[in-house]
Amino acid sequence: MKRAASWLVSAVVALSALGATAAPTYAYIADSWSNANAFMSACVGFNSTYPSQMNSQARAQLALLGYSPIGGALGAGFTRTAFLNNVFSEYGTYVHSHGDNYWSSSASGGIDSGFLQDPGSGRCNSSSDIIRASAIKSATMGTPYNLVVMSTCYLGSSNSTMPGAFQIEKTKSSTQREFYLGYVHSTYDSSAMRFEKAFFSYLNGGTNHNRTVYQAFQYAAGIGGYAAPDSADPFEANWWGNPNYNGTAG
Amino acid sequence: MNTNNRIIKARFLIGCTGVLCALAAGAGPTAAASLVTALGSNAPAAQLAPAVAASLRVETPIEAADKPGVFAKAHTIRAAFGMPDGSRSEGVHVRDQGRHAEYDEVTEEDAAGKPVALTQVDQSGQVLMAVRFDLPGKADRAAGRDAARARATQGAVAAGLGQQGDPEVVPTDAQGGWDVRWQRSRDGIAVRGDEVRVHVRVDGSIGSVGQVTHDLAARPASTLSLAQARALVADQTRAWSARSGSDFSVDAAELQWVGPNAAFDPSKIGAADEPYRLAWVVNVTPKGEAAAYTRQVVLFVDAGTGALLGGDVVE
Repeated sequence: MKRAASWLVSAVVALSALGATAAPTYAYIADSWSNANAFMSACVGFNSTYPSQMNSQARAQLALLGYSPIGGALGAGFTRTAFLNNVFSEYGTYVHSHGDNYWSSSASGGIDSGFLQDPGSGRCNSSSDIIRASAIKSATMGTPYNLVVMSTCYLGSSNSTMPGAFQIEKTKSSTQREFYLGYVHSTYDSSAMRFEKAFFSYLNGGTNHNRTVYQAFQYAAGIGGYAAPDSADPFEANWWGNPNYNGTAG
Repeated sequence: MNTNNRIIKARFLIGCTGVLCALAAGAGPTAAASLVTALGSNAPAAQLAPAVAASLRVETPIEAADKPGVFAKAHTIRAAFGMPDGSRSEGVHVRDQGRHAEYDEVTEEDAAGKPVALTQVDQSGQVLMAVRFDLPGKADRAAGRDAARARATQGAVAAGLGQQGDPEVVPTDAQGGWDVRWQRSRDGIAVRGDEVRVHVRVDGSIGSVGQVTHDLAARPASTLSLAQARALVADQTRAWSARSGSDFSVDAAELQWVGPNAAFDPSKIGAADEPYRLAWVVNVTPKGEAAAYTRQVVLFVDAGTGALLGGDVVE
């Protein structure tokens, strides 16, 4: 609360300096973070276009849901420090990266889920690049989140601790304005992109945001056409939160 | 979100000019700031494409009187799969820029206007998908693998879908229930991603059915052998290793019909769908440190020309 108050004072001071008279409106920040450099030539010899495609798609669709400004970073700006410094202010969070449910002896249940920050231009990821759910939870200071999308492998599985980092209980009957989306298994980028395209397109279709995240999820899951790496890793998205929420900010 | 929480998170946002713009930049990365950051990383131009806030679906209302066949087909499909009718039916014609498709969509709504089911029919009268929007009931212990296969097959036959052979039945761990899949193939060669997929919910009811079918190009007059395809990919991975220092193993490969894509070629982003081509689909597994962040790479090698058509990545 102190932090919010200080920002408010800063804003008022700035307004006074400008002599502005515009009516204030609230900012519902969403950040879209995409690890690109790990999937570029310096690390793997080829340049994958999926990180940029999915980042662009997420930014556009979050904006249509009313989140503003849309921050975050594609590539080198996606650092652990930047993520943890910004997550507190977010209402919506989108991450596209390598994700996993990492072992942690200190975590309850032995799992501390995480994803990899961008390694930076010309560098490659290592285990020191993991941004863990426990660190995120600490940085959020218990504040709520509207829409969290983990466009990674595994962070939609039943043992993922990532929803809790954003105070989203792993229930499908929440009454809060909250929704967490992730993938259960190892997932092709093309399948995640197809799913997210369908999810956001249905959610942002219609009029006056009258569609729910549950409807959009069922729609996206229902269209099919999802290739999967092998029979042990069928394509499967998962969600937790409020099925009746419409995905908008605030 | 309650008022206190909103106050905690809220930031004053006025038009981003002058001092306030500096404030906003301090509060967190704005879109502009993140692009500057990316530029600073020497990222290639493909990474820096600005987001365009555009709807992926353009919906135009249609009336039952104008397209009675579409509404009748939707009813037939719902009946075949046991999906609910509503108090009224609403139709739209959709230009779907995400799926590169046009179709008619009929939504069943209850008396309060809440959607209960949706059906899509393409321009040729083929069903693209149907889904129900209510939450499933309690788990039906009788709804095992065999029962799921039987229910899905019964519905698909009643709906007149073009599935062939025995389906694959896959448990859906998180949702409960089963996905029953008929993989589409031509001359015994799988069409990647093309399928009839029926989701049988945990209560035994059918939650959705999706049908994906792409146009196929002519089969090439001559086809690269498996050994030739693997050799091409091995050459490719050697070049990757030279650039990155990472090692790769060339693993499973099979012929499939695949859609050319923009996975490794930014010039193809947003391009219209092309007919699917016959290709060797070759899995490549990174070794060493790269394996810690890239689980698999897939290359589509044109079976006729040896050209790279695209591929996929598991990060």
